[in-house]
Amino acid sequence: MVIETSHDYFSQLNKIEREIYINEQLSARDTIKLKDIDGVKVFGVEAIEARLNALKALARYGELLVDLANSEASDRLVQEAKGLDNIIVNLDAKIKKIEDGEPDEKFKANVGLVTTVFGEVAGYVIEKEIEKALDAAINKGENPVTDLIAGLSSDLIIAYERRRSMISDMRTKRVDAYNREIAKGSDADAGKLALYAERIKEHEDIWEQFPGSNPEASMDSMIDAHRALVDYAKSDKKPKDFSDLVEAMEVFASRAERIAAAIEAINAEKGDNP
Amino acid sequence: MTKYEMIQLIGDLLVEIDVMRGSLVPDLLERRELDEFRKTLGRKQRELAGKAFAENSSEYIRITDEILGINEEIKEKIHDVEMAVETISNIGRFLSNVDKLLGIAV
Repeated sequence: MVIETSHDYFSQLNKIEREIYINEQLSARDTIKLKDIDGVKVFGVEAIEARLNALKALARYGELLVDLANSEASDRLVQEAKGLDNIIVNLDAKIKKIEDGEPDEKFKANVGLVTTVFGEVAGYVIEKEIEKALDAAINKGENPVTDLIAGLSSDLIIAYERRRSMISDMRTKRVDAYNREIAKGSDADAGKLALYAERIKEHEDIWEQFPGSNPEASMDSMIDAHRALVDYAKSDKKPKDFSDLVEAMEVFASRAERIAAAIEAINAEKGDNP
Repeated sequence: MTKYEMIQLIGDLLVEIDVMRGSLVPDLLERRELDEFRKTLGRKQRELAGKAFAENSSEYIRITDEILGINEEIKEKIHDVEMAVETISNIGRFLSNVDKLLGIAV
């Protein structure tokens, strides 16, 4: 679920920049230029797609690692590994399409290290060499995966802050609409005032819930969950080892659920100007 | 302070500026000045997101420390309507330093 909420932030990032720009031009009663709309992107389309693919690869790898730690060689495991392999191939193709330059250099480097490890683990599973797959995951996977998640988490800070900026600005716009109407004194339209007041109330509810949608905490617990998974894979699989893993997964799942609910509430509000 | 922490700091300031804006009548001069600064600061936040910095360089540290100092001055007075003129002046200084920061992007 943290993958889905992160997916939402990345895929909405350029939309939010477009809305900010168009709202600014509308407020200023100024012209809108398509080249300016194109110019407000933080990440290019290919860069966003690559990040979404990286999230998918992380999710599939996590699932494979859980099954790898718990089961012996099986056809299902091989299918999972082949699925991961396909995602890696797609991810590599997306990475190649990203233009050189910031903010993507570190991301590309992180992906390079991770796809090497994922490819090795998947390859061993497909060959049904489970011990070698586990060894590769344990000995080579932890740091690259952690670095990739940390990098994506930093990118999500950008997405979260830009969305926060837009929602914060909308608070002002909604209050302005009400205050402009009230300034008309006895000519103020009672219906419009009631509507503007309702819009302020709705938006303040969204604003209050918004911090709950911050994906950063969930990405941190994703790193913890991965570490717990690697520790479990290394362990003798005693009940205490398993209960430590379950605890890490539960923290991760409950944070991810809270974030998903908050994002759903925010997306339910239409971003129209007052 | 990392680039991402700077983006978050600017985000916090944008929120404070929006509260100040939303507490002033739209036609006031101070309000119009704040609106312009707000628009510019939002754009600078977006610009920062697309840049990389040598975060260990003395220049980066000097400029971000300056920004942090100005931010503290703004925080002290931004909720006081009587200090609106001084707050707006400090926001202008904050913006100038963000421009300096953008100027040293690698």
